[in-house]
Amino acid sequence: MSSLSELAEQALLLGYSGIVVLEPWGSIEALDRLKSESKALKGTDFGVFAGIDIQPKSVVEMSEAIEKLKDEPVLITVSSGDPEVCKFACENPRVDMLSIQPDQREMLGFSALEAASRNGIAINFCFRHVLVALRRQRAALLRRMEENISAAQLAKAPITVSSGASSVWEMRDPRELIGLVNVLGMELSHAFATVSDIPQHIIQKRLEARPGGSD
Amino acid sequence: MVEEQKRYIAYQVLSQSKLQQVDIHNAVWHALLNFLGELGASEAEAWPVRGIWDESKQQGLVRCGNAAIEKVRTALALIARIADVPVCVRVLGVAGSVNAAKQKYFGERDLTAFVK
Repeated sequence: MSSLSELAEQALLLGYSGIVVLEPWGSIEALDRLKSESKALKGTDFGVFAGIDIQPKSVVEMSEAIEKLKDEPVLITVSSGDPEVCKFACENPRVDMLSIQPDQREMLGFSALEAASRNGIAINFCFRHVLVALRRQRAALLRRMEENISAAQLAKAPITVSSGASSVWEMRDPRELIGLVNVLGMELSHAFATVSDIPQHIIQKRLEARPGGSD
Repeated sequence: MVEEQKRYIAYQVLSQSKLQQVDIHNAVWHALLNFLGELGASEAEAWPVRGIWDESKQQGLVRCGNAAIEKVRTALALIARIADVPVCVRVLGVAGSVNAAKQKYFGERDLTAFVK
């Protein structure tokens, strides 16, 4: 695990203009700590934004977590392989991103993706899942990612790709992330937007809309 | 048969400790074969260039066909560890010839650089 400042330094070296640091949802104290750490790095040209990653086991758990976070100036992502949780996440406009998990067995439903497109919820693909998977797992994961990318494009849902790094050695150049989605079937011109325009739009729209704004 | 244009991908290995060129070379081959498969690697004409290596910056070159640049780029990015050392492999850029790659990414200059 690397500290926030180490991650920011490595991200700057690799060519990022900003990062979103996600903390798994557990308590308000962890959220406050994340906010104070990211605030300490503000004041430079490099943007550091706080986010909470909800990993719910059920729809009820997810709804309760979102309810507690609704007034916080953080990005909210939901990470789940459960199709029911994914469907409800796509229908909740307070969610900013839905992160596809490696244990997902079924493809995302078209109605869920249409809801994500309507609510401006990005479907996120994590590079780290591919990095740590081996052989058969990686082949299966790439196949599912390719299917989900194709379905999301058909439904016109915004797509983002993230490094998902927990240490500096797991971070990758944004051009490599673009290469991954291009190899999985996305046009190169559209792939560039997954690490630039779309995340920027989400950050501007969500953090400036919430009470507290982008401090 | 029209021969596909070759491209030279310059890459750099960022790591906590210094690595041997032979280990990096083997890791690059391993990554290409794992990600592309044997047939895919032959179709991509992917081949790490052994003779061009900057030891201080840990930079090297991989040759590939024009159509396979993104696949080779992704294969390099999926290298997580070399000789049990966590690494980050980044692609510095792509050039059409070895000389162009040396000048753009390895800092080599020829006499034309001094012409006013």
